[in-house]
Amino acid sequence: MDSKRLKELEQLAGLNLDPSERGRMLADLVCLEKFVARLPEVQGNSIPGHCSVHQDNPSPVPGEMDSSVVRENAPSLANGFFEIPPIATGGQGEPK
Amino acid sequence: MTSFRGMTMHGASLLQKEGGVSVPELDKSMSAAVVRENPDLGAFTHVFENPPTSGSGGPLSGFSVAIKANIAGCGWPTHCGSRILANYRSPYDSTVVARLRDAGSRFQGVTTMDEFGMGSSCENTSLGRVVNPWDSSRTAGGSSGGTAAAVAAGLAWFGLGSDTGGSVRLPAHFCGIVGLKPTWGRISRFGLVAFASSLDTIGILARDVTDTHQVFLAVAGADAHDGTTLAARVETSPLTQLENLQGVRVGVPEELKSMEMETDIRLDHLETCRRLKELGATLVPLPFGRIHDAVPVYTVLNCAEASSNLHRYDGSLFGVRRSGASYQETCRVTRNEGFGPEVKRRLLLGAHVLSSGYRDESYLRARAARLEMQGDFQTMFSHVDVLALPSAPTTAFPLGSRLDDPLDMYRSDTMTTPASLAGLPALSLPTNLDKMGLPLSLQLVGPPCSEGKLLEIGLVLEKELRFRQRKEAPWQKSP
Repeated sequence: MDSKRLKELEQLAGLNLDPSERGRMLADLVCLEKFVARLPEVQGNSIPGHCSVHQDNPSPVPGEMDSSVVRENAPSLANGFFEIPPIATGGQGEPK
Repeated sequence: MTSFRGMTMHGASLLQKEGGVSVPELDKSMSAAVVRENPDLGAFTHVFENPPTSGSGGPLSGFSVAIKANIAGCGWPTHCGSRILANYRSPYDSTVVARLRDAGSRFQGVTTMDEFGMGSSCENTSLGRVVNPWDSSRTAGGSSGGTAAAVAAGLAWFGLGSDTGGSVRLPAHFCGIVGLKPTWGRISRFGLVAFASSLDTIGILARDVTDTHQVFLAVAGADAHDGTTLAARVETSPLTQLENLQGVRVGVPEELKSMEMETDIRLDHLETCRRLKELGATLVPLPFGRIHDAVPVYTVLNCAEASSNLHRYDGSLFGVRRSGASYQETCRVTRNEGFGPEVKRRLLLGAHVLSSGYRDESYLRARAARLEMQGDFQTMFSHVDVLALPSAPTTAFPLGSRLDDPLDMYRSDTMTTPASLAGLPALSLPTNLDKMGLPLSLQLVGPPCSEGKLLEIGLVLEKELRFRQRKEAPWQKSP
């Protein structure tokens, strides 16, 4: 994480940080990046049944929920722990 | 007049039946107290001067409720603690609000919260500031801190919050009340503004287990408006009044011994487990090594989902708009002015973990770790009925003390994020006070759809500990 990467992320996130905010934000993100890097390694970096949907922009159409993120993460487990019906796009209420 | 302070709904109903003060009378004094005290407490950002009334005769008839500002009610401000939605009023009722109307509730007001639910202290917002009813120099917790403070201070009979990584259980713990996070999909989220949809739940805050159960029955169950709700039937019978906990197996993660937590929290957990054993429960030590991964995994996933969900706030559809020379410029300026620092931090981190070249290292790892953690829970619940752990590693911390260190704030969720990641129900139950006079709690986590079981066990423990009868928030001592 560096200031160039932060600029890229601002574009992706639809933000344009004030120069006075940037230093602090960069410091925080460096710290958080290290924190989440502690995650255990995934064997082969692949998950059975995982469907790769995302490109650079997590939600290419502003204003629309990227339901793929929800669908991927919903706790309807492959191991049958839960019995949750298929997720309908927009199932969670949102301001209309 | 009998004081409504600290009274439960079932207690008030009984009083009314016995010919004492009526519920409407009690509720009227409560509404008067809101007007008088909310400016100091800050639990509500908007108080309904003439609370919308509803049909009578329902199980919650006449009892007023505090609603978190990310749960839609028709015509209400649903600002989510954010400047970007400061002028937004919902054109429709969420399912939970509609069900509470049907049950006869009165709506006291909309409560203070961390922006879009992102925070553990209700300090990440420019709309309102709430203090803890036990000590006004301390946080009420977050992100449902306004609702928790209202219930703990006696300004609402119960409240609804949302719990994504602990946002109901943590403020319940800090404020000395009961907090229930249901199984993911057990309570409809239609009308709950999305933060991290695979984790978001609507939870209940109330003064005791019986009231919590009553509200749960009123709002839980499948909903045609929300395709993620579970089809499983909600057991509507009253809680079984267990004499003791004979035959109940309670798992205690072995890792708690080495986890960082305040001494009083550790001692209280040991003491409460001892009481569970005295009540007949069998304590089973269990390994749960991945509990240490919960906060990093949660951080990656909630940021990823938030960065996706919050893309809709571009100045063209909802809330505040700041015009720019182009659509892109309008979007950036609106979002930059509308979102606070914590939301921006999570949006940036979310964009980072989802983007090409970084996704495998963080997002996919987090997803895999989440699945493994869910598997761990499944294994544990083949040996025990519930897990018992503290609700948080600390008691309510001083206002402002964690604002400079986001990681420190995120660690408040150490004990609550595991159940969130697995979509499991969890109950936070007040147990005692620490040396400083701040509430301590036990968190019970159960398998999917075991809310009834958690509440039954909680009820036995509640009767044994008698927290509410022994302790009351100093705020409640107001006239």
